[in-house]
Amino acid sequence: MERLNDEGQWIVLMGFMVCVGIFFLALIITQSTVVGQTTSEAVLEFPKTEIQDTRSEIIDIAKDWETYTTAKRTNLMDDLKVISMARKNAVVECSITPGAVNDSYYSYTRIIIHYNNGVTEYDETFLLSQPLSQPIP
Amino acid sequence: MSKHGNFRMDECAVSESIGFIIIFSIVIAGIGLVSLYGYPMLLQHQIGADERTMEQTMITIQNDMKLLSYSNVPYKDTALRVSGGAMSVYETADTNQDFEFEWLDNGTWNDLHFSPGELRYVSDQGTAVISFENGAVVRRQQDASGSVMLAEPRWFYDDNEITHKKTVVIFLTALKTKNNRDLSLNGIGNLQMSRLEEPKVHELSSSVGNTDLRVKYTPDGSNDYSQAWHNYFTGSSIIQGGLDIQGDYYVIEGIDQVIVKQYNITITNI
Repeated sequence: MERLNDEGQWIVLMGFMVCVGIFFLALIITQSTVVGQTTSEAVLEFPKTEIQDTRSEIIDIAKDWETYTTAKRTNLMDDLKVISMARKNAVVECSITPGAVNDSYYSYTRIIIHYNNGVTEYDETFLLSQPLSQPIP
Repeated sequence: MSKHGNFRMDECAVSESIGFIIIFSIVIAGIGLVSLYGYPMLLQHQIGADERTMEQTMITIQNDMKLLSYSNVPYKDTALRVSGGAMSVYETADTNQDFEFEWLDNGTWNDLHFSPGELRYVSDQGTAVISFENGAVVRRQQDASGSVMLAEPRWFYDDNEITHKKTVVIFLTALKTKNNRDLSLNGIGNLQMSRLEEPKVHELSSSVGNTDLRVKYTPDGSNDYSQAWHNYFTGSSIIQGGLDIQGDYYVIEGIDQVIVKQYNITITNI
């Protein structure tokens, strides 16, 4: 009987290897999904400008705080809260205490800001310096 | 010894036809195994992948809804692909699920009922049902009773250090369609949404303070997401430690301000 020719066995082996390869590729393709929230959307959601705007408004109000009547102070604070809630869906609270800290040349107004829109919560204490008209010698 | 040690053994009994039969049966067995186990497994993976893609798509839609409501964007278009099932739009009027909010306002109980409407995906081959409901993305299986929340709505509680005023803010998202049309999608489509109305605001009319807020969720009997909402209310997402359970109601006690904002989003086309 003639001997079998086994020279071509590598073809069969390569066939098996390619099959296994295709199988794994198919598994990987079925795993691929689109992303839900991209990083850029998460960055957009961060209320950077909202906090900056609120902060700038509050500091502007605090500069002339002592010249305002009590009624005007209450109105300003209420408006700030209502507008923040209506436009930016954020709870804003703040307290302004003039002359909280003093040194020889400056009087400092203490401003405490609280901002919360459910995703980002921001708290800040800020000392606003105003030069004393009569520096303490 | 020399006879057995020799590499060229006696090959008198080796038959080419038997060899062929062995190789052929191995090939047939291989094909059989792949079609019996391999192909169904791949199909199963495909169904799972479709469902997972849909979960992500729903979260993308939730992001668009956030832009429409919180960021005051009037129009939004999203291209999406729905495979392995169909996505349908249910109007507020067509939904049976109901959110009930109660709070004590100046001595009388203020009662607010809200039907959110729903964007619902139902898988054909699989069992998953994924919905966008009132700002949340929830999921359940058709043959099981439980449900999970994949993405939460933005309800929050604020207790600040300055005035110690305890505020609860609740956002409601109502879905409407133009002229009450029935809309659904299977395949590739474009979801067009708009919000042209100002949000409706319900809040405490007086600043009496120290009220309780009671929330109740009544599910649609055929599409029950109560477990998902239960987990959301009793988890630490809104308030540390969760809301208390009193009968059917979830309760937050001792709050000073309640703000409920309702956004009406119109699905123009899909």
